[in-house]
Amino acid sequence: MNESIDWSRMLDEHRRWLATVLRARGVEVSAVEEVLQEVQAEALRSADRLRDSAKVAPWLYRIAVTCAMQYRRRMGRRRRLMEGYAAEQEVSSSSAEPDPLDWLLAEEQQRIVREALTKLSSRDAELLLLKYTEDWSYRQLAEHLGVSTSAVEARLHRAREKMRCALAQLAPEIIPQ
Amino acid sequence: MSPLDDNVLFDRLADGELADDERHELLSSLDGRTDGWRQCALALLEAQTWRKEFKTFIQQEAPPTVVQVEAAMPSRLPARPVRWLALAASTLLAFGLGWRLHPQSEVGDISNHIATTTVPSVDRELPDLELPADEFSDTRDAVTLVVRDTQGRNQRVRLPLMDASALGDQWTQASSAVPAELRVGLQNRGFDVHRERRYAPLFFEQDKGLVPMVVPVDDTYVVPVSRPVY
Repeated sequence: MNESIDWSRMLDEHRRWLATVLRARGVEVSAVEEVLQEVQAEALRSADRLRDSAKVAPWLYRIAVTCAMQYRRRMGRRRRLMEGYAAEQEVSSSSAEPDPLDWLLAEEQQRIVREALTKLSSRDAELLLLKYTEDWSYRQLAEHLGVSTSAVEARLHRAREKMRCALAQLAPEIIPQ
Repeated sequence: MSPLDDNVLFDRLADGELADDERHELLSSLDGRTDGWRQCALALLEAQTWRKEFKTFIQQEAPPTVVQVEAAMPSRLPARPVRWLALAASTLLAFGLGWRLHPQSEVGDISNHIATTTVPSVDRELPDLELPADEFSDTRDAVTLVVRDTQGRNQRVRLPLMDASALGDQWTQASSAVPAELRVGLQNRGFDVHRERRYAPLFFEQDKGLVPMVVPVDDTYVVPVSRPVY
């Protein structure tokens, strides 16, 4: 095992963005914790294979992608949809008196954005989610994903264009193509 | 500069990735461009919206499969934001009224939802029935019903939507499908809820006659209150 790394602290530090990667790769909110545990276990199990301790982030990223893939294999598509629907209902019913107009607008906007995201490849969705939820620079994205800055910029540009196309198809009244 | 380059530049501006001199050059050039400031504002607003919605996305579960409402929108809706609200409200009302309109791909699964009534042929002429023919032929809006005929085949029937005034009172007495809390909440915030109810007529064959029934379809408009000031 790579003795020089404080794994507990390291995994805590990377937990949030790895959770975003898992979400982008189709892991439900309710299962993110469970899959993160698997990422942690796998990281500890294969720590010997990490040759460069400066590249922990891309190494964890690859483990997270693998764990997400394994998770999705375990779960049938139907079951995921049903769980998603049940959780959605709970969230809706527990919210306290939202502004009705805000609610109408927000629901519609969220629905369109969610649907548009599902039309992207998981790599594109993941990149956009990391960019906008973590507010990372191109350099930070590159460091975490283990690619070059110029690759991040090019991929981000393509992902945005695809997102815009998907949004325009889903809501042509609002977003003209 | 090509629109593609522009997109990249504005994206990089919104990302905070432009070097000082690049940013200065871009901002200085905006006055001289057609829609320069507009593009800039849109890029920033898009980034702001995506940031907010993506954060919501990673905290929430996936939505249920969307049921598409295959109804044409009225052609005389007002400005775009209100039209959008009306679409959302109209969809909600369609659910509230118990409609089950399925996309094409789901036609094979409708058996559980179809009543075992005799369905009139869509090609049949309608004898001796007092129908408001003008409104029938004039309307541009319609809904599509899917029914199963006696041979077990799925048939699509396109029904025109008719104004309430074209039907007798006995068909049009129904309470609003807008939840009371939603209506009150909107009114408290300065919005009126206007409802336009129209009807899709259906006919049941009975003996040698045809018995009419109608299915109500509501379009709901959320509009800012506009009251005269004296």
